[in-house]
Amino acid sequence: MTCKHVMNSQPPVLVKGATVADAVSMLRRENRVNLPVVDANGKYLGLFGAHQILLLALPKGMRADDEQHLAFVSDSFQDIENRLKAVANHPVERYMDGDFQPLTPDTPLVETLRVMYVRRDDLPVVDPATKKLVGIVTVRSSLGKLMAST
Amino acid sequence: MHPESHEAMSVLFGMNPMWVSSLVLIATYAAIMSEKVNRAIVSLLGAGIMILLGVLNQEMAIRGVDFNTIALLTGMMIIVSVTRKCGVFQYVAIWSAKQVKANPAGIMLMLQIVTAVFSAMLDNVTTVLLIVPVTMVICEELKIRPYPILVAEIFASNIGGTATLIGDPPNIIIGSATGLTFNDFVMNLTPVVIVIQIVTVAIFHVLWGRKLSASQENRERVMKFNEKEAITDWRLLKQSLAVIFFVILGFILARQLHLEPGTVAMSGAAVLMLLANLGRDAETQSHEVHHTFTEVEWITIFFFVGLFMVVSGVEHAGVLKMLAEYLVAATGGDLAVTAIAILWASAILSAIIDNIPFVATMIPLIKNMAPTFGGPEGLLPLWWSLSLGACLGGNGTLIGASANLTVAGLAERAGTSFRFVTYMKIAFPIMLVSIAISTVYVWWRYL
Repeated sequence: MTCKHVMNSQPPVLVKGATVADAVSMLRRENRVNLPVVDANGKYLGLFGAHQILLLALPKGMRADDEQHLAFVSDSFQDIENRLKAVANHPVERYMDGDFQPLTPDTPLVETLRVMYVRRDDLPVVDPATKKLVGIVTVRSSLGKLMAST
Repeated sequence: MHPESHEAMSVLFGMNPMWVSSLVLIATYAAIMSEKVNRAIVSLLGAGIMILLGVLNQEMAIRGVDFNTIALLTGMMIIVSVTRKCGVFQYVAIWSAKQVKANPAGIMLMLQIVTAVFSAMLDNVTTVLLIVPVTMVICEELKIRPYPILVAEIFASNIGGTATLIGDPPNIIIGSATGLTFNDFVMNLTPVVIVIQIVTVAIFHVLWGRKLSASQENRERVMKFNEKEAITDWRLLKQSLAVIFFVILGFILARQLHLEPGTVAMSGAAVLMLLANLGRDAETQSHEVHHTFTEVEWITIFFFVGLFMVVSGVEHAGVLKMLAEYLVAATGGDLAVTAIAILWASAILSAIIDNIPFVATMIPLIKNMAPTFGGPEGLLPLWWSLSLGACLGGNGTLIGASANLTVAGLAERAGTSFRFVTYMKIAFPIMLVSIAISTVYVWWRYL
């Protein structure tokens, strides 16, 4: 068993140039934690999702050091909303996580589950030869498939 | 050639040890400057090559390492790693911003003072790592550009670090190699550092500070910050402050107690870890101590270890003695000319290359000048010139000091870009002002 046995092969994607606002509405519509970002040719570029949106909702200083506590800041709901509005038209590739080494269709199943456990995220699956996105593994669907077989 | 050198020179296949060691030193410098390979790897490789080629044997290489410097750096890194968890640095930054009613120019002034004072007591990189994120939060609330304040903080960290033995790695190496104490550094460097910091504050105020403005509404937002909320662990805060107090006291009394600063720092680190872990079970202690050790900058520590061995190689081969003779001949054996030459050369070179290997190389070179200037006492003006030049010169360019690159990196992550030339256009002339003040000071006080 490998990654391809539990992946969804036609996931919703964000195409390079999509805005943060586009991403938020797609995440809500598709009920996803994150979405893969691809270029016009389907080449995988990175991940954008709840984690990046939360960071954008916080003061910028948080991006400099994500270990600092912010209990001293007394921002209102409106302040946080304004912060998100300020980046709503920015392209997602500016903030996406491009560091994650994606899974491949041949990644063993146990390794796939381990990476999901460590990342606590939905993960992209990329063809190592073409670098094109071929699917996504989500915690929900993989567990569903695994539990169905027991 | 160094008297011990015959121990190792026989395995050089007939090559001239001066040439071999010089080539290894130059290659090490070049590789560090290229930044293609991590500097710790470069220095350890350089040390290994010195031993493999027979310039040094293993015993000589180990003797070349200044373990007092290593212990002092590691000990202070551990103390900061534990202390930072309590949020005291954020507390002080916010408190200082509120003292000036969140006026942007006032905040710029206060954060320079806070950064300079912290840098005098702690490592510069650590200081900016702690100050920059909270600065970014304050600037965002005020809706002002953080760049001017961040540049001013870079200067404050390098200037403040010059003031004490423990403030900047070049001072740590100089102090350890020469026996100059914490008090010697305070008595000789702190006065001029205060003057330089005041002048720098004035320059930044005229250049940027007076033009910074924020609406009353945005200033109110900063005034609403509750600095007490920044403190995450009051018990740890008290423990950390007590240990830092006794460590500083230890540095001040080191000579009377016959203790090396490295011993003081490492003992303080052990006591703080003990206090912070009292009452915890064995597993939690292991986890916490492991976490503390992971925050030690091992790249810097191993960089120092390798570097000391490389410099020891060129020293044993007699290269530095020869260079010292050239330098004395070039300056006509005049102490004033030599001191000023070292000050300016150190400043210009430290703006371009890493000041740590430069200072590590200069120390044995300057020691070799002792006979010309009447023994070790006669070298004092040269040590202060080296320290002032190497520490302050780092302000000149973005790559001049680790703290500069750290600030630039943190700022980039938060959306404020730093450009090499843009920074240098402002920074290099201001750095030259600080060296000009240092020149007057060294001339007036020692020559």
